[in-house]
Amino acid sequence: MGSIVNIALKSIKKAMHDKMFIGVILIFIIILPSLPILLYGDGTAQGHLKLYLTYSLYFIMFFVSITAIFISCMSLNEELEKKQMFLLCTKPVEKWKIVLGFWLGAVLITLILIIAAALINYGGIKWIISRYEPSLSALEMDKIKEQLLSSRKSVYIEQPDIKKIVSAQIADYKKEHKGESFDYQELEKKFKRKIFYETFCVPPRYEKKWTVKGLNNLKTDTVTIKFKYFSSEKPKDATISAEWSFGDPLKARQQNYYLEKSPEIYHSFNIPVSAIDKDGNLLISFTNLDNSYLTVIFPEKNGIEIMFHAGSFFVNFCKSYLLIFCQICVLCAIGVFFSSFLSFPVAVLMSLFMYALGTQATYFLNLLTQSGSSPFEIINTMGNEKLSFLIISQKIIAYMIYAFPHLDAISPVPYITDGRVIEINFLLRSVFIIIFVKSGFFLLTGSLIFNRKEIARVIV
Amino acid sequence: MSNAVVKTHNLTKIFKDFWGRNKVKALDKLSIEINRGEVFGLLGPNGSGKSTTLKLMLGLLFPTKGKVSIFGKPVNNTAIKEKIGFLPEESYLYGYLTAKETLFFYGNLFDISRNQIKKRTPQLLEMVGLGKVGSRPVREFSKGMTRRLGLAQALINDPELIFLDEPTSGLDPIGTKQIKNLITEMKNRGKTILLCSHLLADVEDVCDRIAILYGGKIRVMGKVDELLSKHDSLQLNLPELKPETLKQIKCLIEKTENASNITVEHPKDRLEKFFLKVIEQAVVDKSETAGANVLATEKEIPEIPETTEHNSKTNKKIINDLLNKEN
Repeated sequence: MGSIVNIALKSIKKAMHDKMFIGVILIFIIILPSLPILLYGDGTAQGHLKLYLTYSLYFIMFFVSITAIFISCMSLNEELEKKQMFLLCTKPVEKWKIVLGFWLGAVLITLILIIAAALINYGGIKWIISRYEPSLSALEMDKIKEQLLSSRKSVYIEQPDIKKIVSAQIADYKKEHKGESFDYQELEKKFKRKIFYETFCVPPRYEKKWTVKGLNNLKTDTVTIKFKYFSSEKPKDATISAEWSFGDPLKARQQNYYLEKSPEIYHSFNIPVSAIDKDGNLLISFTNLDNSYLTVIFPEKNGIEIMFHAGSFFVNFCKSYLLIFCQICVLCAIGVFFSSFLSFPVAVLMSLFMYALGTQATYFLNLLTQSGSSPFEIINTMGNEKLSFLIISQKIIAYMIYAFPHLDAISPVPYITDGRVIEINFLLRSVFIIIFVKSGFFLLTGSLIFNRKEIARVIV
Repeated sequence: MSNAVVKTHNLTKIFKDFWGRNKVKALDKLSIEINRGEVFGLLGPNGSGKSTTLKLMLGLLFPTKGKVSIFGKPVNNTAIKEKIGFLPEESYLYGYLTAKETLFFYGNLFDISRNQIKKRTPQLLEMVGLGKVGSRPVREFSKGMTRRLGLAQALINDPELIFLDEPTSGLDPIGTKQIKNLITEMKNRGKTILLCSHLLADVEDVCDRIAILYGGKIRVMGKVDELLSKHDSLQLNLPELKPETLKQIKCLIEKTENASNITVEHPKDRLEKFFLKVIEQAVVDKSETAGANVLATEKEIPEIPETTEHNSKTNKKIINDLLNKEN
């Protein structure tokens, strides 16, 4: 362990004497504090803050990621290029410790950048608030604190187990149509569509009820209802009128609201917690009262969401930087891995490719699997499909992408800009998978390659 | 039981091109044994395979065929590296570290306590003449100074086996002489040294045995004295004689031995010795220098760091020996 730390500390010392790194820090220190001034938004405090939070976090993530890639690729390669590795490899240090030492060094250097970024970013948030605070009413300030500078948990309406229901329905269909041939995939699609309509579509003058569970022991007075819906056609007056009622009248205090809201965008409003029963259940009833007789369709995911306060913004902010740190750990591991067998420019190029792929991994995976589910789930449903070269190659690519670090899945931006809590379970799982499993995989492979590498260049 | 510290058996290294085809046979069935306490010199022209041999012995290259063992173990064994010191052809040091930090960094890679490293660092710096510039970054050092520091890092763990690749390259005559004396002293302390050098005079002065390589093969191997002795002529060292006496001696030799090939001349001072005399005077005059220390007076000459039970000899005679040896 001593030699790993020793090599890592030496890397930090090198960075502190590196003009390029100092230049990078200077650029960072100049650009980041100027972002609250440059990103003005729509002129409102909320708009300004939201824009700043979004773009500052994206900027920081991009900047530290690129720095991490360059530093990690450079550290090992430079030692090999300048033959300083000759001395290191003739000392009693195992090769895997050298690889780990360079990785740790790159991680620690980038960590310095992350800490500096976090401090400047938090300072920027405070500056924006202090700028608007005197001109804002208490109500407006509360709204900002509630929607942006908060840490809210979410629960969603209880969804039917579509897979189970569909397979049961297919089994029933098979029994009824014995001996008949049918297209499995087409039938599955048909049943899925049916369940979706039954659950998420509300025809005109119809009422649909959903239950939301898990709202026990809330320490707030209100919860936020966030929703979005679509209409079968474009409404004449751009809005759809509906009656919302919250709470089971037999178990809690029912709250009724008549709202006229436009489709396709998110809306939110608060309801008192008295609408929630003792068991932590909230009954939601939606009646479509639209005058144009349009059907309202809620999205399958995130159509109706109940959000409630669950911690401080500061803690959430710190967690978001821990997620950025996870990204950095795996990027440094990728950089060290590639530089264990490739030259500096090629290693940087490959690492950048992996980074680009990582930031879009979920999208690519969805594209390949078409359902957003993991390849493991796809394989389970493969039994009824005909295996072809195309499907097999699709699965292999899907597995490969699945093994890549899903940087988009651990991006803190959606959490921070929406005031959502970064759950501790999610955080720990990310730390475990990204740092220990995926970074570990790259470091282990890099160490094995480096161990088989001839350190001295051929001179004859 | 073999006394060999380094042993190679049929060591062969073939360098291949990008497509895996054999390109150059750098070493061809090299078999060497270097014994404990011996100073072994590896000589040869450029591309003869000296550096390749050294790199194979240090595990920086992998052999195509054959075996290398150090202290009876394969070179990839990390434990044996605790007993090895290596000074590469160029001192590949970190420019941003100071001389002290450099020794600390390399010292911490060994199984040595921090206190011991702290104690040994100034002693080693003093020994190689960098005591006064220990806090200066290495990038400000001259080539000779980095060579000295490179040597200090090779000795930080008090190694039993020391690989020195061109140890005197870039050094001034004083530094060269200091290094040669240091090698002799290390040999006296029972260390085994493998020396690679182009400077044949250096090798001649310090090596017990040498091997001359050409085309990756050993052409000659043996003891330096045996290889260099001329058995068909003699050399007499006499005080200044009168011309008559000299004439008589010549006549006597010509008559009795029937030898006609007799030359008589005054011995010349070596340039090395002359140079050292000039520098000694400069030190006595207390002329200032930003470079490495030149140890002139007995008080200033430090001791080689004592780390084993071996009798620690001082190198206080370095300059005095240097100046008086041939008087």
